[in-house]
Amino acid sequence: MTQISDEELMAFADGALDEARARVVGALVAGDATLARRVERLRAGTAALKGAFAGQLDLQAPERLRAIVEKAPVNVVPLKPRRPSARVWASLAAAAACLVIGFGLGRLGGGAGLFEMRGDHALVAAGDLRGALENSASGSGVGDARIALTFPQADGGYCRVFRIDRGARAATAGLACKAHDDWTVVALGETGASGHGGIEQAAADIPEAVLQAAADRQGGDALDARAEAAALGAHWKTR
Amino acid sequence: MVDAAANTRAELIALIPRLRQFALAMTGNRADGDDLVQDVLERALTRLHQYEPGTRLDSWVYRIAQNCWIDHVRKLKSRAKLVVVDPDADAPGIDGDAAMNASLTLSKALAVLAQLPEEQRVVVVLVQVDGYSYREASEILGVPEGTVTSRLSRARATLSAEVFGEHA
Repeated sequence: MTQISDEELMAFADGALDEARARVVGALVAGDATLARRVERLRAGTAALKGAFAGQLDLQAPERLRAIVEKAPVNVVPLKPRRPSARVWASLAAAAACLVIGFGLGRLGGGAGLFEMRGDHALVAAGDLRGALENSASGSGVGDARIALTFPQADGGYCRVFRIDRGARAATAGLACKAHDDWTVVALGETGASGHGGIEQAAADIPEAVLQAAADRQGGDALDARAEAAALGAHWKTR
Repeated sequence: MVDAAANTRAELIALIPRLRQFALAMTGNRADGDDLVQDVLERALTRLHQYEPGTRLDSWVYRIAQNCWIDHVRKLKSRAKLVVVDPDADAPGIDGDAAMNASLTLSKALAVLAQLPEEQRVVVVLVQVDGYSYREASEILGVPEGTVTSRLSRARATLSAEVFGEHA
């Protein structure tokens, strides 16, 4: 009962005992000069160690280390590819249902001038694709460009998955994210035309590269119609 | 969304001084320490989506730091020795007339820490240098609280002998 182990005395000195036990040990320490001295010594050791490092805590982080955090790309892509989350798959499956309908209504032909290389070599959406990204709700589009879904990025802003029908058999699918005034195309892939094989097939038709890019950037669930309409109304500005 | 991400980055930057202190204590010198911090920051940034806002960012980052440290040990072990201490810089650890006011120079502290097995060193640094509770340290390290206590107790016996020049 009055026996105090080394570990318990140390925990007492560190303030790590629960209240009830601390009171018991505290009473014993108060009545025993040897124990009191050991507690003092334990505390002095911690104070000495803390003191040795005290002057080392530079409040200003060195520029090199700050820069790692400050200049990290808006979306840091994991070194190892991740499988798209179940959430992405679910969103895409749902969106694909809209696509199947949407593509049935899409007109053929056109497709030129949907992409543009900006001065800094970023690939950005142009023409009908830009129009669709900017103004179309998921499931609809402009010309041959159709929007599949919209999701918020981990670091703010929005990304949209789109498809461009290229006739009966082929389509291009991609992911574009709004950065400043442009929709930067961050992933593109070849896929079969939509409209055959139902929802799951259509979701599976989104190329792996596009799914990966979406999974890497996704900062929340895909927007529902109401949230998407609001974001569209605000011209995709997040603040 | 934007605010949350920006806040997390700002918090991460605010943690850098403490991470450097942790890394210095663990590696024994600034250069290796800052390399460790760099790895921690890079790893944290690539996993920012795994961090749950509202939980303690520091505990999450320290868990990453612990994993990075393990990787570092493997690298450092292939090099000569952990500690780089200026052998002449050390006054004896005992503060002459009053042992209770024992003071440690940084190089002495690093030398003492370097003598501890890594699993004890990390507990000492988290609890005694960084001021984490036993429970917080156990969560960061992913070991039971009793393990933290026993490692710390063993480390303290060594430290006490080094700092006070005698056995506790």
